[in-house]
Amino acid sequence: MKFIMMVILLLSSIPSFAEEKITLFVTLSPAGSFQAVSKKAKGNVIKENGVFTADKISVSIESFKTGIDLRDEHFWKHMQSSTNPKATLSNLKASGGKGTAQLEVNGKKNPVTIVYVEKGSEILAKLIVKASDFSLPKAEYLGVGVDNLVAIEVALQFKAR
Amino acid sequence: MKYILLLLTLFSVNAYSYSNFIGHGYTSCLNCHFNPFGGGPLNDYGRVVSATAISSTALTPKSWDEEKVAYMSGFLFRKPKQEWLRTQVNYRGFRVVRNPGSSENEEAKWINMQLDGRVILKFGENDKFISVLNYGYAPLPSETPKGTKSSEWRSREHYVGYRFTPKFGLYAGLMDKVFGIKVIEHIAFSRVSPQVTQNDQVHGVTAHYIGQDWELGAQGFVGNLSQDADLRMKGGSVMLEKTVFGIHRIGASVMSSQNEYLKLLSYSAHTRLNLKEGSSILAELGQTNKKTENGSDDTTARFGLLQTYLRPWRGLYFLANIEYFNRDIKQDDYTLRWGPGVQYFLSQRIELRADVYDTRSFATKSSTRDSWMYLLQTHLWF
Repeated sequence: MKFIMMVILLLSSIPSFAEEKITLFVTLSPAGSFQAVSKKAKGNVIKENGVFTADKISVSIESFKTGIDLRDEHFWKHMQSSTNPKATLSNLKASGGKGTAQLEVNGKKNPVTIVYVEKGSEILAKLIVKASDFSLPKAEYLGVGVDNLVAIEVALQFKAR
Repeated sequence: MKYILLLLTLFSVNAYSYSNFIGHGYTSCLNCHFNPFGGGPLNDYGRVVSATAISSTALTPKSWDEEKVAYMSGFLFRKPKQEWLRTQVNYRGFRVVRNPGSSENEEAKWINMQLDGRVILKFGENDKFISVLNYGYAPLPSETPKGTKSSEWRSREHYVGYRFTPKFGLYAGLMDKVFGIKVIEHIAFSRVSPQVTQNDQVHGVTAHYIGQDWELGAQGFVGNLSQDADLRMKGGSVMLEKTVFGIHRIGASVMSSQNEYLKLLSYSAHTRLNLKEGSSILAELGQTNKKTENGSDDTTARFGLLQTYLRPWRGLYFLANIEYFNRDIKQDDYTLRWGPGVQYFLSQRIELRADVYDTRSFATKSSTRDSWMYLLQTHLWF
């Protein structure tokens, strides 16, 4: 019994670390979808007096995986990773569940608005962008296309001050 | 009776489709198949997906990158040089062993189940107009009386289709009925009970609409015109599927059909859940009311299906299959069939599959032994 109690105690004391990742939700036409996921975001999110800020969060385009190797390659090529290898979110400022930032993709920078929720030491932010706003051409492969609207989820740890 | 039903369904072919590929994010069959409800020939995108996402790279030369694998996915091992013609050849055969290990009752045989040649003509942007002919060999059920006119060589499907818009298309000809989940197990109760299995194609007109989050199919049919007129099942069906939480599907189907002897009303609800990375769950629950014109039978059967597909890595799928069937819902007797399976796409054109089935009858007034069976299946396509 003592042993079981110890195991339960040990298991319950393991902290639940959330995974840092950026997920792009891409809708296909005529139907279907895929997610492009990167777990290699770089940058710091700071929480101070209830306000979240980040100078720069960047992610390598070629760190995104879609579940199909060929689609990965097409995705990177479409995002022109050879000339613009990173996507960057800068000047993030958010409070009360909403915020603003600058998003740079394919060498084009646009202001974006985000909504977020705070979960323990993690911030989970969501935004929706138009691929065409970043000078990305219409994507299609053998009759299957990609929707212009892309939803993005960013899950990152933050440091409180 | 149970064994006759089993044998009848075993000795046949069907228009295979892989509804479990929702686990790869493909909610609709239209992305990969010419038929928007799946089965039959793959389109160019479907061939590339089969090569680069579904199949293993075990036989792929190391010097090939994924673009090369995609290029080689065409019929002649290269990208077709023209846009208007596609051809495919499809073979399935399996070794079936019933009552394995029994010194008295073990029965094993190899069955050539399907050999199809397929020709597709297609014109316009995104294959706006298509014409599909699928002709081939399918063995007659072993119980077929000698002297029966039926040929083992026949058209599996032939139809024309026109997509007025990318969202809406009309199809006319000999096609599968639109109903429920088209699972690849041709003996599934959920396919046998509503008569939507391997030899149940019908001549008719099918409308297909795909919206942002939902998909609708409606079909009117006059039976299979190669059958005698009094046997042709005439009627209609509707199936609606909705995408939920972005990646899953829920759906419902209803179908009514009748000939001079029989009237069927089937309805079912189903779901296809995307577990991601190629894994998925399929489930269907439905009923079929069967009435004979002479009044000798008026029963409602209930069927259920639960399948899981787990994909540990590219090319390999572990299956678990649980099926339920109650021939008459007024009675307590029912049948369960369950078993594991493994499906391995050795390369784009080679699928190997092994399934074990245990069929157990639960009856209040009798008891029967479990019926065990395993199948080793080979599927080749070009």
